Amino acid sequence: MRAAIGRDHGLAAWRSAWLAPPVAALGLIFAYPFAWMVGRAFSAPDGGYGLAAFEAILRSRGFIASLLATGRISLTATAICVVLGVTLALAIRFAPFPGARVVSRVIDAYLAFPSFLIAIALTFVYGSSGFLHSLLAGAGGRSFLFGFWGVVIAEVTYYTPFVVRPLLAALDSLDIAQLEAASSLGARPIEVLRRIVLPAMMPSLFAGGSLCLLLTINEFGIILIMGVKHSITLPMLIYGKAIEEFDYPGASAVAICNVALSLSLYLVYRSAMRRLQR
Amino acid sequence: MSSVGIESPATESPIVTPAKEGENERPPRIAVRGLGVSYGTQRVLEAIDLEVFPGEVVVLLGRSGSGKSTLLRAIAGFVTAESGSIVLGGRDLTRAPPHARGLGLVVQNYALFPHMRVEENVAFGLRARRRSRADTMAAVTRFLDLVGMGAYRQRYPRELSGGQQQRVALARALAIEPDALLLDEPLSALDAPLRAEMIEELRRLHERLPDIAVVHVTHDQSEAMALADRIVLLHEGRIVAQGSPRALYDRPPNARTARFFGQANLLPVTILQGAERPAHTDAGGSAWSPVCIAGQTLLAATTTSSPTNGRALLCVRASEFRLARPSGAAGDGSDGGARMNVLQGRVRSVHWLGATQRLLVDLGEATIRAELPERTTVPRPGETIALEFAPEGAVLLAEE
Amino acid sequence: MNGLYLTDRARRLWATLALTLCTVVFGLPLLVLLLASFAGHWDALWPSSPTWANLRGVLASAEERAALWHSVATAGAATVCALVLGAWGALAGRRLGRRTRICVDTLFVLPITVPSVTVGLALLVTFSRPPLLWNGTVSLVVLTHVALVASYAYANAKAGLERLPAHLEEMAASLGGSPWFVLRKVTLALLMPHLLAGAALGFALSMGELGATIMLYPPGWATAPVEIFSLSDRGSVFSAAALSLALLAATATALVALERWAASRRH
Repeated sequence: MRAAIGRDHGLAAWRSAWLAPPVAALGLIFAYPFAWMVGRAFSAPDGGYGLAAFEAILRSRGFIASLLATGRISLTATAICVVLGVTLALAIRFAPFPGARVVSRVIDAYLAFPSFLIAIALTFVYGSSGFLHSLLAGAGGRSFLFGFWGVVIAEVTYYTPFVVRPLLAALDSLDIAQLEAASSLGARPIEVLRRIVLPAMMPSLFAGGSLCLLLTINEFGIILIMGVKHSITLPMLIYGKAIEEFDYPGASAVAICNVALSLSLYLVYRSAMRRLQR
Repeated sequence: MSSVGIESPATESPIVTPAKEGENERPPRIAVRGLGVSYGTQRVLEAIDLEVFPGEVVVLLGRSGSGKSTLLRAIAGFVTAESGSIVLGGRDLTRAPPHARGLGLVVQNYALFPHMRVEENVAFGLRARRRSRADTMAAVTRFLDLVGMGAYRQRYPRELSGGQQQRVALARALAIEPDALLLDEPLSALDAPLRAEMIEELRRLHERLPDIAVVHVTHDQSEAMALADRIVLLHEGRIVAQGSPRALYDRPPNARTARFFGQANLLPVTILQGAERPAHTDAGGSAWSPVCIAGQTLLAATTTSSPTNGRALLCVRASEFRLARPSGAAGDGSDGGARMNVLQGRVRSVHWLGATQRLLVDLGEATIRAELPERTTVPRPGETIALEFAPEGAVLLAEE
Repeated sequence: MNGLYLTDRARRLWATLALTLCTVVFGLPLLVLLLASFAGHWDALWPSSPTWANLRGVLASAEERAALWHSVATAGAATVCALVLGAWGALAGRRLGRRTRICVDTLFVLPITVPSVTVGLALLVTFSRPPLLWNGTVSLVVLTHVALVASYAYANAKAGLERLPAHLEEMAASLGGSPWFVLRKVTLALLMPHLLAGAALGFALSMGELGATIMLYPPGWATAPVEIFSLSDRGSVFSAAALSLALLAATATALVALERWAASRRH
């Protein structure tokens, strides 16, 4: 109905003409290059089109290994983020500790930090010259944290805020009268949590979790700085192929696989968000 | 009793009650002709004709969804006319954008600009017209004083109460010295005492600006009664009736109008044909018709739109009824010509409402609702009652 | 008070757990970064030989100073362009049909949905050949950042437009404001806080952008994140930490300046 009320001064075509400049600009700097990259991935060595680049990367062991590494890292990190996020959000909301406000401000600030800063910082915590290392050195723990778990811990640090934020929003909109009704009907706090609070959090948790998974799959800075040799993720593989091997078609093919993965996760996230808004 | 328009504007042009003598001859400030509006496939306004004259307050009255707000928004230029024309101050502005129409608009939530102070809000329309700074400031002072908000010019809207925001919104609309003032449910967001106060304030404002034409949209019939020179009743996108509040209340042209104003009983009656008791006209020019309900014969006032035979509806307001005097004392016609209708029925229930008491009386074919003064001693439920009412208080309407 | 009636003991336990987790997970990295920026060595449990040398080194080194400047210049230019692009897109798109709006939304949100490395790769591949040979130019770095930052500008502008109080623009038009007058005095004026929030977020993210920049930065225009990576890759971890701190400080300074400027324009 709203659309029909719209002003009638000038035709619809005239109104959409205003959209042309920004769309053209973004088309030039994003859509056009992206389309070109897709074309590049499907180009055959003889100048025609084909799946040669995809066949090549599917045959290479590096691609499968990096796909598995990406999945392993992002699923582990996301799972921990979700558990940690739920714990923190519930604590901030229901058991406010001294400085809980400061923590939620810090959590907001984390969203604007570059992720690699965490990696730099963790170098000193867990790295070969870090204090955990010196703690564990006696126990014979060589910097095991610098491998897979190092990356996971860095990603958990950086991405937990992305889970906490929507959860806090969901908890804020929770009707306290509902909780009180449940308590007055005889439910103990743990039951109130399980039967009322958690169900109310689920959509936000799903949205935050899928966003977290999407971002950890796309994460680049942390892994680049931590220089994990045996945990080459898809973005690292793209970087390696393009910058170190100058294999543009190969890099493009990997990029397309990565984009497909990201976009399907993004669609899951969108549908979760839409359910939230309803 | 003549100032009553009826449902089909095609057959009879709406009859207008002028605000003051002779003002009819001046051209209308707003002239809407054959206006039709649709939202998508849904027709929301159909063949609307409306004229508003300088100095006149026209209230568009109707339930939500009746199209009253859409009509106002079409006049203001926010809704596109699909058919028909809108002439403002003699110029056809059917297709003109809102900013070229020169109308002052006040809406329910005031729509004050939150980032501007009161004086900047009032100055907005003048700045848009590139008036000189001195002119603008003079007008701001004048109109803020007019609505009694002169002391608040440096405030932001969020620092004002609802009633104060309303006044600022009025000053802002008046500051552009519009041909007409459009008020879209301006009082609906206020609580009841404040609303009564603002109604008084609006009346005073109309007196101080005698030349302005006002279109006021509301769903509240008492607000309409208090403010209107003329009420235009809308239902499902059409004008159902228009006329002065008094005319619409006393002589509703149709059942829908009768239902909208006050507590009306609409009783199914049969019109008695001439053989039994002829319809006649009295000295004052009013026409009367005998009707029958539940075996009792009554006399009803007729209008030009009343039916002349068959089934009809008799509209009697609940407050018209009185307790009939004992049957022996009421001589038929021997009472100096003040002929009264009498209805007998069985009391179903009595509710005390403070100033009045409400009775439900069973006639057999219908139930009537009567409101009697508090001190009247009334029969108890189950007993028989005789109620009387003047024929002038009963209007014969067509069935729906 | 909050609807969940925990016993005091349970509340304390939970609060302690949460506080500990927060400190370890969020507080520790920042603290460590701060300490490392001022540390001469970090071989034992705690850093040793506190020094200004790392920070002084950053400020003394022409390369690192240039990297900071490149970051600020790139982020500043990209943010301004992205703000115009995003606000324009959101304004022009809002009165259009549902399908058009979804297309515009998608176009604006895609750059931050896909990995930044692929954005860098796409621009690298495309602009390395005619007709547009932009590879190796500073403008390409800025344009890449524009594409990324425009998403945030657009999202914020759109959210702001949705929150615009009803009927204000209609009211402004009926008071005689021409479309351009209404856009300036009402729409943009009310949108300003949202645009500034979008600009701040976009600027901060642009300052820290690594994935796309590292794919296509020309020699001589290494941004601070790129420089931090190469420092850390060469093993100069303390310098890397100090430059990181300088990057954060530069970002914070710019954002505070933006805030000040906005506040001064309001009054």
